[in-house]
Amino acid sequence: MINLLWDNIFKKDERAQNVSHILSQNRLFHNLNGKEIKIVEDLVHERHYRAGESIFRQGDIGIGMYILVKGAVDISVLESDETTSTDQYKEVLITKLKKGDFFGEISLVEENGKRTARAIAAEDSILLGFFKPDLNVILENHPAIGIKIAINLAEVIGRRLKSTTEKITQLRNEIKILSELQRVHENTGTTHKA
Amino acid sequence: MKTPEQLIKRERYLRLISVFTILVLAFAILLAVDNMLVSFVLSFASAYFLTPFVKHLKRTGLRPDLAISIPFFSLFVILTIVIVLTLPVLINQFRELQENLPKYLEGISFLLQKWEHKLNSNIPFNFKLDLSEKLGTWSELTISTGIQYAPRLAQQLFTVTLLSPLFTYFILKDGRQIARKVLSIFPNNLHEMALTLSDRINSQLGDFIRARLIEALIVGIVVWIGLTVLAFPYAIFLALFAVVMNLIPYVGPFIGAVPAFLIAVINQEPSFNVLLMSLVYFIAQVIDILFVIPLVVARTVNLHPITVIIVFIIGAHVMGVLGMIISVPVASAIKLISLTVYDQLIKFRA
Repeated sequence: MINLLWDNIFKKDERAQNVSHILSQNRLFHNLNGKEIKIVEDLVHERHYRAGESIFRQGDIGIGMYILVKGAVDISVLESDETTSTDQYKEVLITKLKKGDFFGEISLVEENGKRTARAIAAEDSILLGFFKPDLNVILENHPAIGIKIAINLAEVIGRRLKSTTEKITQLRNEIKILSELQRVHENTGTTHKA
Repeated sequence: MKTPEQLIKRERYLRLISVFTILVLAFAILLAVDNMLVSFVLSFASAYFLTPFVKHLKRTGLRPDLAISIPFFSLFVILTIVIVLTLPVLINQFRELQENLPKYLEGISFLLQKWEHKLNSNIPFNFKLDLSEKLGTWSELTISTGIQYAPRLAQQLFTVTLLSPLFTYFILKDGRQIARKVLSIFPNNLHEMALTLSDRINSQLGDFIRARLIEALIVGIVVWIGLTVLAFPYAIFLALFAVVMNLIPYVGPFIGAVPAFLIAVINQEPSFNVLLMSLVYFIAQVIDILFVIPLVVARTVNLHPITVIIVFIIGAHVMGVLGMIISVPVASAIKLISLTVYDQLIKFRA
């Protein structure tokens, strides 16, 4: 009984330290000091998910972001299935997130924004939820911390935007090259036929 | 052996039942334990009133316990000073009122008799209202019941005065943590919705309660100053009555002015004095309409006049005078919560 009690105390401490460490490593909170991290720690929501449990679905209204403390999360989108003639959708895995990764941060600034992908726990996972009401509490009660987080959030969203733009540019170039190749191929075909 | 899907479903179901049980139990305790509901309503109102001050102090970088204690004890000190300063006047006015009560009751009875006579002479068929006689029986009954229940009322008042500040302090200190604990029990698929819902209800209810309190307070102060300047009798009692009645929308401001008019008529005050007194109530309402209402969006949750009357009657029937006072604000709060819940459910399902 005594061992169990001590076990629990240490486990709790260990978990708190883990949460605190995960938060301080996160892009959104990386420049916050220990005291400031503690304030955020008191506000985040620890959620436990079983393997296969949905965190959110594509199209759900989102109110905030999640940070992965333990386990793994699959992010997927629904795409129309071109192999069938009917209006069927297939789930396409975009990425697999691991400990320390975060997702859904755009919902922190979007009004009634819908989730653009589905998040599902790939194994038994622990996540920290940081939502719009929590950000509002920080902005109202601790504006200095709120501003730091808001700037970090803007930076993260900016980076994502930049990387998306780069990907779009890259895709455009690839499409251009492909269409050029197709044109050359078609021309060659015509010459051969002639 | 259960499949993972079955386990997830079972956990969600259990969590939902737990949340529901906690809420039902909390509500049952509030209703079952004596003075608990009133103490809680008062504490929530006080906590919502103090929240902006607490937030402001937290923003300046003050420690959370100090940011809570300073406004809490300031309110306590202000209330104590107000009570100490007004208590002698209040006691004097109460004694005076006690002495003159038979005279006023007689006067009201006489007025009613006169109106009844006029009314009956205009009604062609034989119909007797006997309002004056009913008033006599009612006043006798009220006074005897009042005397009978006075010790119990005093005891209730003492318990509420003791419990409310305690609850207020702990709502300010731990309210958010308690709400978070309850939210943490919600199943994962409903957690985001529950959080948004609680946040919206909290902010709307806060605005609504603060608005009602500030509004009633301004009306009370204006009526008190105005009547005191006019040397009108029972200024404090009339102002307090106006404050309490102003918590009731639509009919409240009118009911709040009735006793002053009755006193003026019975005392046969000169017409000019009655006009000035009417002006005091009118100015109080103008200030309310021009300055307070535009600032307070929360008033949009007002109830329909018929609903107000029905709720008022139900409140009076179930909880007496206290029911009259808290029924309309509580009904408005319930309407606000229902609207928010409905709005959020639609939004999350869209």
